[in-house]
Amino acid sequence: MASTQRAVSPGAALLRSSRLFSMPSPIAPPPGYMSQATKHKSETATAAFPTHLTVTTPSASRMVGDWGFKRPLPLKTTTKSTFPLVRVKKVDSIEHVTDFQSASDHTITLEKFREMNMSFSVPVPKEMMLNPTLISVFEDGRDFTTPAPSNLKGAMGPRSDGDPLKLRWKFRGPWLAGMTDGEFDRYISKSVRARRSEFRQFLRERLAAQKTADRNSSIAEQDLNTPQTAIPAVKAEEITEEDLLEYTRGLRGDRHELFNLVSKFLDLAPVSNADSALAPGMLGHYMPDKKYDLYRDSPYAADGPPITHPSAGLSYLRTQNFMENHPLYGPQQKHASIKARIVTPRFGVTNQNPKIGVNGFIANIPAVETSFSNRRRNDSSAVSSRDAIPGLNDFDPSQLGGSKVYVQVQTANVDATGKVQLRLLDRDPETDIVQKETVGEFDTFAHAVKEASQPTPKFQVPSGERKYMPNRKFGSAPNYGLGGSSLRDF
Amino acid sequence: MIIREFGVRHGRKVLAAAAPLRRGQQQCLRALSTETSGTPVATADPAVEAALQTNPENPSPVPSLFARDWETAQQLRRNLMPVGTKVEHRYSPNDVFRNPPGPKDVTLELLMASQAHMGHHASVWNPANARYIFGIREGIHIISLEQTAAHLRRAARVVEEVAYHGGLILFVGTRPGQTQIVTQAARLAKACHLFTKWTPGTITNSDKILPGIPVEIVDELDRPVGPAFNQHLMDRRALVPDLVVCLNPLENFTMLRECSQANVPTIGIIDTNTEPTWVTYAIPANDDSLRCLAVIGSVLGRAGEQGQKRRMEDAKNGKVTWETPSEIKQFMEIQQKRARWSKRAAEEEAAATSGGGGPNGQSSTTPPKSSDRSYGRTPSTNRDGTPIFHADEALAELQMEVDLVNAEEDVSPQLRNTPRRGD
Repeated sequence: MASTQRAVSPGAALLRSSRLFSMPSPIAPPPGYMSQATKHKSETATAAFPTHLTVTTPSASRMVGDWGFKRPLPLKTTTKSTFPLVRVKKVDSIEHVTDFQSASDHTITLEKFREMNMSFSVPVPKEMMLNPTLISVFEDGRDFTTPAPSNLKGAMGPRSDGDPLKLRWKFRGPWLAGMTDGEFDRYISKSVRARRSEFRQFLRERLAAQKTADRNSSIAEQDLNTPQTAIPAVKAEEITEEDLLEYTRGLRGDRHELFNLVSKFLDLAPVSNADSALAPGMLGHYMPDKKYDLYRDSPYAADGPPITHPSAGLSYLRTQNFMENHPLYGPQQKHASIKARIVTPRFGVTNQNPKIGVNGFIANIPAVETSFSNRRRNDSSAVSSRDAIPGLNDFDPSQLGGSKVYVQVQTANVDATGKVQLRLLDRDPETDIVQKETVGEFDTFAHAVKEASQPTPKFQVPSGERKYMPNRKFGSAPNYGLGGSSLRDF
Repeated sequence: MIIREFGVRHGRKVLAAAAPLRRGQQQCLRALSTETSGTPVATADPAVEAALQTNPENPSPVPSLFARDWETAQQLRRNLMPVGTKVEHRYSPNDVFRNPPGPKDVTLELLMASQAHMGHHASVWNPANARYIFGIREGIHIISLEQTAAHLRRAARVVEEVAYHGGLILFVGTRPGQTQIVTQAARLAKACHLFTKWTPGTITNSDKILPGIPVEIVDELDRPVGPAFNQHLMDRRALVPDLVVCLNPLENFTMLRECSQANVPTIGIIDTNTEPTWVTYAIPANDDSLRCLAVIGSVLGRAGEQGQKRRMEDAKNGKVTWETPSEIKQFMEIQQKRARWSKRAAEEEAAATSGGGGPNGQSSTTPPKSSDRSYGRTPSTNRDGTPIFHADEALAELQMEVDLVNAEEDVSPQLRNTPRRGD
């Protein structure tokens, strides 16, 4: 390869290897809302993902404004942050200024995300939310973009629960469920309409294959001794116009088959079939006496395929299944809890599910019943989440810097708009305490001493409504009548 | 614990070294030692112990342990220096000022590292610069590094030769941040510098703008000639530079215009949006990056330094590379004529006195001192009639001076105008 390269001047060779020339061109910004007027959009909000390269500089150069670009960047705005991080949108503009802004938002977020040791998994369908099987996006059966036979082999492994072709994350065609009317019309007129004759040929080949299969099966039924390979297959050229017309008419009545053919021809991204074909009311759409391949939804059917690789390059870990070791307490069953912000409480300006900010990413509370849930729990402790997580339901103005909560993150995935979605688990008080002690927010020993030195509260016969009693202890010596005068209390 | 005892050990040593100890210090030492965890503090040095035990009334001389420790540390450092990690020199923004690169150090790598190749936004270009432009990247024009290097070397050669021929060079950079660059270049090349606004008319209307600017006359070894030319200096016009180096031609269009009117050659850094015909010698480069300007400025400064060095060496060997300005020659001729006349008048007066004649009116003029080495000698002819000027480092702004140089002491004097030092 090197010999075929054109010889260039020394200056050109230098420039080619320069840092300015190796800056990647910016990627497309995150897709905006379809209707800007009805959505709240913040100008200062951090974009869902970075589009420009982040540039840094040594501290000595930063003090003189030298970032390696056309002109020194102004010291007033670039020397105040702890880390020198800048994204340059325009090296020079018509106004003779360098258009730049701080890139701390995305870069520090990436740093924090890496500290979480998070792995990316394929999105879990809603019906499996409770006990999901997490599959890494880097598994062979998932991480492919073209339907090559070698890729399909991995996809057809022991646990193939979908159309292997649809397990891909990248498709040539669009995701129809996410298109607006205008976009759909444009797609039909620009891309689809011109391919009519191509589609006819595609149908011809399908019909020929179908005819071959039918003939083979009928021959096999009549005469078992005739090998099927002896009979030549029906070729696409042998299909007449009348046959094709008949086949097309038949397809019009068979929506399932038609959609399969169209989506295969256009390589459409999968759409959810939960509402259409598989629904019980839709059984009338199926042709009688015909075999259908019914698969479960593709993981990307519900929300659309991701616009990047499903890991977005944020993490290359395949699994969370490793054990952390604590210097005092030894190996830990769960990963260290992460201190997160309660960004939006439940009963704030709007009554909605609370939002948790985990290391710069907004996460929803778990969809299943957890300590984050609003309802009272029915177990004996009878602790409502209102007490368990202060600030989760109502905004707590007394907390300096806002209310915080320690959370456990199970996995992450990238959605169709390029946002990172974190899946939170229920809190684990023990893990929280271990982490709090590690960062110096809690003294386990002092807490234990304090607890042990407190007198055992008297046992009271529950009367009427059960009340929540903190520090209530059952099963101590006085309660069992071993401590002397406790019997009198009964 | 360990740290504290460590501190106590060393603290005792240090305090002991500052003998004689006062009572308070001893208490302080004691307090320090009682604060430790009880581990006995070993005082290996008997001198320290002696110092601690010494009665403050009759102090005994204690060797300076401080100095000895320092010597030991230095010895250790010298021994351990080559051991372990090799410390390499890393880039520092001040390198270009600590060790300014010269014309020999101009490489494409240096120019690229100092962002010389970054032109302006492609839409604001001046098409006259098309031959310097390599292409477009990131929306800006990329200046060809080879072109920059070639033009920079040529400009350095011009500066060097002008300095060699005793010309007056002026470095101009009026943007914020260019002060250090311009002053450094001027210091190296023994030139003048300008880092504030160019007063319009400083060349074309210098009689009004620069009246009475101090000027002195030096000989070929840059030595001031003395007060003999004071009368000439009083009605002398302000100097005009022989070469102007401009770091930001865009803002100094007026100055470049005046230079072209006065036939002064100019060197300018031409970015892709600048008109290259404004200057005589263009250096296509990025004029916004201070790093690039510092490199170019120091290269030109070093070139000037080299030229000055060559000129001084030749002058010591009796070779003078420039000629006396015509005004000075004219003045000297007049002075010589006056000297002859007054001499003749004196002779005639003496003859008349001896023969009974009266004194001549010419005797009232002040004759030059015959002891002055500049007088009574035939000045050499000037080559083109324009004075060849010589820059001086210590002059801020545009202070013009004149200097007079004797080329060959015994044959004919060469005198030159220079901006006077220290003014």
